[in-house]
Amino acid sequence: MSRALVVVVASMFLAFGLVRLDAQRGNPQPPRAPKAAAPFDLTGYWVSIVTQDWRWRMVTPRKGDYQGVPLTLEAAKVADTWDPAKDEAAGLQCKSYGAPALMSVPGRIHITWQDDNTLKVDTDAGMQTRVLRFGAAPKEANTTRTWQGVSQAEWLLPRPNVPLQLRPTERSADTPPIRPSGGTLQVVTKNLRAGYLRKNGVPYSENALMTEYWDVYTRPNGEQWLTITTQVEDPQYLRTARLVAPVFKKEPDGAKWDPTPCSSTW
Amino acid sequence: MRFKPSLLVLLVVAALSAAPAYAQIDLTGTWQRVGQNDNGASREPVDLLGMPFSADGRAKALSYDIASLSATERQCQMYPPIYAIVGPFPLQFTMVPDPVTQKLLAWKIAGWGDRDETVIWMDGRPHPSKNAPHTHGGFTTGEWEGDTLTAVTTHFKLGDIKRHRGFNSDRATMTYRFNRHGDVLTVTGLLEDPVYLAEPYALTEIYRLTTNPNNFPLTACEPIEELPILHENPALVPHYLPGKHPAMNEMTEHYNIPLEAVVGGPETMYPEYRKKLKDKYVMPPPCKDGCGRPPAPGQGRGQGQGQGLDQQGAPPAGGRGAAPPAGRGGGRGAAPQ
Repeated sequence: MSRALVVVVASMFLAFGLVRLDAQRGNPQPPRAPKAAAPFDLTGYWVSIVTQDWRWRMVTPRKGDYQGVPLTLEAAKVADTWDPAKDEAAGLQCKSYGAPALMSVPGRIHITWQDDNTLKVDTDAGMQTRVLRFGAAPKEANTTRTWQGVSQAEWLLPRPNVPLQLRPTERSADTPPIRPSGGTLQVVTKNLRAGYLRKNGVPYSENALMTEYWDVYTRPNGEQWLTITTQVEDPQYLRTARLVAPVFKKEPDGAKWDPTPCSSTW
Repeated sequence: MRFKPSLLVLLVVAALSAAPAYAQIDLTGTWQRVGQNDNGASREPVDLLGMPFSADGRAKALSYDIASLSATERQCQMYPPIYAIVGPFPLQFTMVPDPVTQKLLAWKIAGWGDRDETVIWMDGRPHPSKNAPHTHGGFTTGEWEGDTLTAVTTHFKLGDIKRHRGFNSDRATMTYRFNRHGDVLTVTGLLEDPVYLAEPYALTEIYRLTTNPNNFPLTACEPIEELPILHENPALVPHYLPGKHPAMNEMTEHYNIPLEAVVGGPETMYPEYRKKLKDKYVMPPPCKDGCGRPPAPGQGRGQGQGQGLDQQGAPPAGGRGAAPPAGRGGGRGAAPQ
């Protein structure tokens, strides 16, 4: 092998390697808008799969049923006064459709990009809209408290640098390669209007803070499933964080979209 | 200057080391179940709410008498893999390194007294032949997708999948997704079964990393005599004949939920099923007892916290050796084998 050829080949390898390393280490590259940088496609229609907590989600549970919620005594006293008719009369029928409860309400969600920096999540149950904004957080002082609050979104991408020990040992040649895909949508929501974690009046306060992780799984048959890990922290009404993970399955279209207004009783 | 081949090798190695890195994450440690859902909890023996059973799956579930677990030969049978999600105990992850390279060969989730360990092979080995023997834990392979570990289990045995209220067959497949977010681990499970399920059964559970795994069960199962009637007549197999389950109406009596929903089926897990319920459901009277109420000051631990809803008065999740409630099982419906 001639010396010149060796130099050329080596230079190509090095150049290739440096470029890849540079990309992995996050060195200067033009920032892409969140829509363009999305590691997976969330848009479309998703239906909630109610295989858990059915008795508390598919029907309005009886008053006083607080199982599974780590509520404080103060919260229980508040929940004991739950009166759905009173809520309805006061125009508060959407109290159980606030962001901390909404993704567990049986229904369908429709996710679209409102613009390059904003995801919009519409629900048919309760006809609510969540707005998930990427980028700098808006100033809270100027924001009115709402059922859906203010949501700050961020893509969490897989770590580029991995401890050597965690890399799987050599895989045989006929197995498919490890897919360097993945990623998570993290959403932090605050500035909430006080509402219900559960239809039967289990409360969260306006100081509640919700952190979600949206993870999509594409199965070998093409089906897409979405798990939303939801953590609600509320020192006033929760002794520990409320942690649930509702599941959705993607649908081909909106044929089953069924807008239904909020209800205090059903 | 004469070029040395070793230099070329070094250059090639340097270049290859810059290939896209796999995104992986460490799962090592003990993960305490948060248990704020009803995965493992239910007081009523017939509660198939939201479970996508086929007709065969429903028939199997409704024929089951928990007293059959008191038969000596069944007391130590283990739960199927989904019990990692619906069971009460933590997940204890350890890494199995390749003995030569020290790279990841497999993840191991420790077993419990009634659940076999799960070894998630990461080296790309294939699943066994369909004719290979089935074990309680099955055979599991895993693959990274970004920071998510996806694991698929096959070759496990028939077993009950939710507090003795339904079964998977030995042709089922279990897929897990392990998503770690800081010290929170979310496991999404999809159970598919061509025999007993009409659609995949999806469940999630959330765990927190703990440094104090003080409730990890270390005891092994030991069969004992539990029900005299089974000891006296070992040929008895407790079961219920079709339509004869004595607890069939308990959910309806306690919660006013129509029987058609109580017996499950795929349509019961979709939102539109609520329309069928709307005119049939009347909210029952307020809950007075065992309702997850927090403790009053000075009264200690409340209901419904910590290790799942089992703290609230439901029978122990394991159920091993649990005597059936009065008037149920123990020979009712039992027939000679």
